[in-house]
Amino acid sequence: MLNIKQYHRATTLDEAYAMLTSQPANAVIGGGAWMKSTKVNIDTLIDLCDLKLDRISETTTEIIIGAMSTLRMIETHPAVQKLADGILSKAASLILGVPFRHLATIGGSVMGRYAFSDMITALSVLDVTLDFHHAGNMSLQEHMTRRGKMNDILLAIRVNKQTGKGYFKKVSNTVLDFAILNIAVHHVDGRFWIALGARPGASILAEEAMKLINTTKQVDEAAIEATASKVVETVSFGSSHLASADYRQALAKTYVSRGIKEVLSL
Amino acid sequence: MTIKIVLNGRPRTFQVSPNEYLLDTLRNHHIYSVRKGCDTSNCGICTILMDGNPVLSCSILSVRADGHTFTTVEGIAEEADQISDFFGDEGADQCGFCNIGMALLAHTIKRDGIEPTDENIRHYLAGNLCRCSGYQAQVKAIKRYVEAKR
Repeated sequence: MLNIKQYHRATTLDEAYAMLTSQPANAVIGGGAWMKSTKVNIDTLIDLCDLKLDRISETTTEIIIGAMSTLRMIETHPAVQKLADGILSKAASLILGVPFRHLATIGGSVMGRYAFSDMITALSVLDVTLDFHHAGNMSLQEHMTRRGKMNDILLAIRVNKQTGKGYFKKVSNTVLDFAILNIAVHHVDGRFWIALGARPGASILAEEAMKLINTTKQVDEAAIEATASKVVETVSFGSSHLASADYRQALAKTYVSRGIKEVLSL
Repeated sequence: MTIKIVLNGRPRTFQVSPNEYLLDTLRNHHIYSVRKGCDTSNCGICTILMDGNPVLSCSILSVRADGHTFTTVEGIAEEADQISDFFGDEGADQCGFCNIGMALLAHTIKRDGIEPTDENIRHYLAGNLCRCSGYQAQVKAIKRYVEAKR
């Protein structure tokens, strides 16, 4: 059962960071949507809700999504809806209902590094960097492979404005259930990006398959089939209460192939 | 801890613990229209409006509610009666447990000027579970209600 001893609403980022790093049992709350399902003892729960991190802004080259922006904001923001065919908005729109999405934050998804996260799979195929209060700017992939407790505060997610075509598919037993598998494909500047999440492990890029298709001169039916097969050969899939590894492999092969065809409008 | 919120237009002050959720705070103060279903963010029964947006009261720590404005179905009582009539006409009222959340979502759809297509209504109702019906009657009722009030 979740146990919180104290709650503190931070007034500055420096204060929040000092409090977070002062005690191993202190933690930052994002949207708090999944917090109730955890069994942790928190000494001081630090809330960033007054620090104006719930903003989405844009420059000519980037969309900057504040860490406390809700999934509903991502779903409905006009600039985000235009990004790679609205891949982020679509991924957000498939997560439970509107009332849930008004609470859950993108920062909570990214800092939680949840294996079931639909948002991380969609972000993985975009050109994304993260702004941290202490560590500065780093790539999403670097963040995903860091070990241990995240003793830092995520400020924003920077997404390079790209004019590519995106595809996102969440496969689940029911609409409101966690994904059995997430598949994201992005085709931009002649290159393909392919990511798979909820394998049931955390989202990863299908590096070998991407290398194969990105060095293929003619992306025809045979090349797409070979790429989908390479995903199954080189990405690890496991079994969970939702689906077996074999089933996930079969889904991956089918939906990677469909995703590539869709971004090529085949 | 003491929190101050505006509930259905009235300032209210509550004493809460850091572990307490808003759903429990409201019910502990006799606001029973906010219903407890799954208590895990999945069923939508506990939906209320926070600063005008529909949210799940089972997933908001009460301490976080401090300074915000909330509306339960009592705050839209007259409109909820009208919505209830449309639900009755379409046979969408069965046990009625989920209707509170659905009434607040119907209010939001109308207020925000959402085009009442089946797709849009289903998008809003997703996550608000009903174990009696197949949702078709609720979709029809909300569609008729929003169209009638435009």
